Amino acid sequence: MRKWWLTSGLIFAIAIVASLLDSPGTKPVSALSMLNPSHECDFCHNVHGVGFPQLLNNASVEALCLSCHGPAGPSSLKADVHLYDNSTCKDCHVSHSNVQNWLGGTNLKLVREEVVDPRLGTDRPLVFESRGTSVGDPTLHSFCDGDEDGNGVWDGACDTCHTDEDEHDYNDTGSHSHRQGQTCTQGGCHTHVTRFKDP
Amino acid sequence: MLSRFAQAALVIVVLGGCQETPGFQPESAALLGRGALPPAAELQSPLRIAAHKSGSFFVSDYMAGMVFEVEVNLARAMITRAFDVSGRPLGVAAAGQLLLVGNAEAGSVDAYNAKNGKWLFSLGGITDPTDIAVDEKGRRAFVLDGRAGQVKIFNLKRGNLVGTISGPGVGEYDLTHPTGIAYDRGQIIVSDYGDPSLSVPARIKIFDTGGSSVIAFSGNARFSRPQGLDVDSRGRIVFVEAVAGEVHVLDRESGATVGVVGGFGTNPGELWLPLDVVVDDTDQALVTSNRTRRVEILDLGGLP
Repeated sequence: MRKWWLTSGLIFAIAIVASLLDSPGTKPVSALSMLNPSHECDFCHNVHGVGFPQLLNNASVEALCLSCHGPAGPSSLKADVHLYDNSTCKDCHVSHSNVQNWLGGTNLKLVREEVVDPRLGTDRPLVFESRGTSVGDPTLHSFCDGDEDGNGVWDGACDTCHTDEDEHDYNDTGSHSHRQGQTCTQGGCHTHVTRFKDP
Repeated sequence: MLSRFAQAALVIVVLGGCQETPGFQPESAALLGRGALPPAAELQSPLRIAAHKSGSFFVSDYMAGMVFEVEVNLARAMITRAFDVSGRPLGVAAAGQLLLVGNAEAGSVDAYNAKNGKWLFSLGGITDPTDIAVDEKGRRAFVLDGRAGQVKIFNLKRGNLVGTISGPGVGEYDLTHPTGIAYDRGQIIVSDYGDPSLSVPARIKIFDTGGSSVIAFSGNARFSRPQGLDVDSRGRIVFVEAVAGEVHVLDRESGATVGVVGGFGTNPGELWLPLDVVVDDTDQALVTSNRTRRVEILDLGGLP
């Protein structure tokens, strides 16, 4: 029985590898490259030359992200730096593929399924499946949807980190009506580049 | 510009706020430009740096929305003026008494009087004015339009477009993902990330001002994210490698790497996302280290 499993596993592995090997004119497609064609593995990982060993730490990962998404990078999606000086891109984003959130959906924009509450240091769930009405998406599970699904968990992208703000806290205190369901990072409002601060 | 004593040691001049060093407090808070120098002027997101004929340097700060003038004296640097410019500044260059600033929001290069900060005119039709160079007489501006994949040449006296170089593409002399530009002795030098997913390597490309390609050096394994660049006193190409946090010096004829200085890190003298470099006449390289919010000065004089 054990031998059968080993043999089956080997055959399965060979099949997977074979499926990834180049057939003429094709390349293996990573999950990330489906998000953006320029995000093939070798766009970030210098696999055959001198790599950057410092990519082992978050600061260097951030340098890699910002080399394209920073102010001087070629991407039109500008991130620059984030809200907290000690945070890095990876605090809110995963590197390689969109992840499943606690409700079973898939978060957009490589946003994590959990982020650390900046005040308490504990994990908070985050659901970000829609960019909001400003871009024609639904309000549900957008930046801040006012707990539209009614499950009592304030898990919108904005709500998740707000602990003591006037608006969009991750509980039912304060106001949740400000620009509810809209795209917070557009229109010159709470952009990455202003560290999400008020315009 | 710097004393021989200062050159002998690796001179590290720290500007701006960071955890390792206290925020820089300017000694002379002059009220110049379109806005006042902030009480505790410090760099937030230093991007491009350019030399001015007065001996000072201009640093664009994307997040602050300012261009800072920096003066270097011995081992000390000071922010002496702050220009509250329109939009988010990208490229910066000085042409005589003109201060040229790339405006990311308007898609223009805005020209200011470098003495009083007064806006004079704008050069339009630019998608992404990521970097700017000027010729030796300050008559022409070479604007790198990053996302358009073009160098746009403007006559600064007339304020009109007089030519373009290259275009978006993946060929050896096309501009794929260009990032930085410099001008030296009739040649335009452009850094380009290339596109690894299309097997287009990072390159340093040289054009003449007529747009003809001269040479292109492939990064191969030595660099992959070349950003701002300049030339040293011997005409060698000096550029920053943004991810590795290094300053590379290339032989201009062969493309061979002459030397690499700096290194990734957050300590003074180390670079975290360096985005531009300017080399003075004593071969001191002033480098904008974006994430440490500093301008570092590295000595290139020890290279062969």
